Amino acid sequence: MSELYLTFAVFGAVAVGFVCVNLFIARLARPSAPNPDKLETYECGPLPVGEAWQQFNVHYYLFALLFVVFEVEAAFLYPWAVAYKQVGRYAVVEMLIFVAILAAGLGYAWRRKAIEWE
Amino acid sequence: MPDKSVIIGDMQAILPMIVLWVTASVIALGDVSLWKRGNKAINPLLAIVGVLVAFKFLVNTPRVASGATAFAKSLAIDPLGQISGIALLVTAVLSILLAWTYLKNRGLDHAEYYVLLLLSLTGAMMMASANDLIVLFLGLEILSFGLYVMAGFARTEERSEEASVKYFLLGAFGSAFLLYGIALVYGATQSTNLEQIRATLSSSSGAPGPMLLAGIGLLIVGLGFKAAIVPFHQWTPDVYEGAPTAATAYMAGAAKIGAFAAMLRVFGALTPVAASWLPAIQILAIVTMVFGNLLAVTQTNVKRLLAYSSIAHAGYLLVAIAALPSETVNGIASNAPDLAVGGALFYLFAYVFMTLGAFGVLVYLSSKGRDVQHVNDLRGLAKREPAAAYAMMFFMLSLGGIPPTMGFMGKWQIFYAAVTGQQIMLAIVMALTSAMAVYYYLRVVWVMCFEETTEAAAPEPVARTGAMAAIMLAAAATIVFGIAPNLLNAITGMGP
Repeated sequence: MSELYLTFAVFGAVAVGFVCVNLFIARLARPSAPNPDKLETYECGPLPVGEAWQQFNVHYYLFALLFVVFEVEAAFLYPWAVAYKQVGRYAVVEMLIFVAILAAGLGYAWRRKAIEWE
Repeated sequence: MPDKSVIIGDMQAILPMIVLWVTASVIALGDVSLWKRGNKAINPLLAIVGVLVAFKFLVNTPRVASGATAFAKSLAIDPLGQISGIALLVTAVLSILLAWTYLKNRGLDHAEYYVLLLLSLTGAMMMASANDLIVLFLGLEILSFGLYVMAGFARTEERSEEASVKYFLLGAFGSAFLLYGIALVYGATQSTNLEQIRATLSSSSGAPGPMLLAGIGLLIVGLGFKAAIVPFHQWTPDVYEGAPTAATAYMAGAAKIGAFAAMLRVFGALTPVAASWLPAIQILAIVTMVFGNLLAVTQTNVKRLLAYSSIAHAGYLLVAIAALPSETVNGIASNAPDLAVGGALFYLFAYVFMTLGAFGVLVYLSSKGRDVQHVNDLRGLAKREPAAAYAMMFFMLSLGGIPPTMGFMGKWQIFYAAVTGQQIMLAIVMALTSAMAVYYYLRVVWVMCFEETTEAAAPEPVARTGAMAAIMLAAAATIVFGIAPNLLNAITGMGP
């Protein structure tokens, strides 16, 4: 039991040590040239406009939700694709039901204009 | 590929839930494509038909003695699950009737309400027949997600939003406790299956270790949150007050049945280590009964009053839980556990009829610009609306536990179970606090019958048939099953 925890402790120490040692070496090796631009928020090149602390369009969340649904679907489809030869028709029917449920949800969201940007 | 008979058996076990889920999907999709938000009456009608079909399937499921399971032992097919399922479907029918009236009169008539109601009902039914802690948790979450949204269904009202957010945050908190408890119990017993847990616990000797104790403690906290037990009840009055009245009624019924069916199962499985959790349940029961009733006395808002009353009723139901482990009394085998389960189920039925009926009267009186929830709104109701007022009187008498109503029979059964199980202290506290409760229930009756109305006659609400039907059904049940409790046992197949 205690050996098991020892493994974890060693792993944790190595993980923390790796970061600290590398940052320390980098600090010794790199030149230091402070510049106010370096402290800006990085937004793929363009200059940031305004504060990030503001209301976002609620549509973002709907998109995110729909995205997660299909991400999960994909995650389930991979193991299914690997196993379905052994399980056979049962697996096909089961997956069809699963996909149909998700499709119904998407259809509902579509008709409620959840994926149209206004 | 699994055996065909196994698949068929599994599907039969969840057939009522499948029916509910399919109905919800049909309403959601039909509303956006077929009847295009035009014909509003079709949504509640479809919902009621779905619930009745589910009821038919549930009643037709062969009655097997406890022990039968489905889905690799994760669902139990037993009387407890089936009878609480019936109670849930009754709750759903009454709530749909109430929602029909309330949503229309308040301008909230959207199909999504019925969809959410049916889906959360599916979760509650899963919870009631869960034989595995993970399935129990899953059912609880499905139930809760629907309830969170329904509490905030009046989107333009700040109170409703507040209720929804409060319920969601505290509910998520409770779920986290429950999940942590499940993890620790799993750590201590190497299983999440309730039967397996019971077997492991009864075969192991010696005092339960700290991990198991912590796990049981967290389970009590988590389920206590959902069942609104003092001191985990703080959200109840605010959520009950803020949520649309029809949603409050459903929440009061479904969440309570789900939570207590789950508690009966979980603590039934934990019976071998009862010595470690029984004192906690006893103290919680006493505190819940005393504080629930004391705090209700000062309420002037009927919804808050009913919220505290529902807390007090949770306390009475905890007395039944405390009688669960009394499998032997003074070395002689006792039937206290069976009495406790039967009493709790009967009480849940009584609770559903009287609480939903009382909320139904509020729904019946509410109209577009006027959400009735203050005691003063009921002044002189006996003259203005005699039918609703007399029905309300029966609900209040029943909630107070006065014969010949159903509330009295339910209390009597739990009381009897507690005495048989040697929980004399709890039985005494129960009797005393019930007497205290009569005061605030009768005050509502007093206001209705003997005080004059001060306000001008309110405009007649647009639709009231649904609410009236629900009130009459509930009132009839409260009286008929109060006089002939065996009738309910005969209908549901409950009892010995």
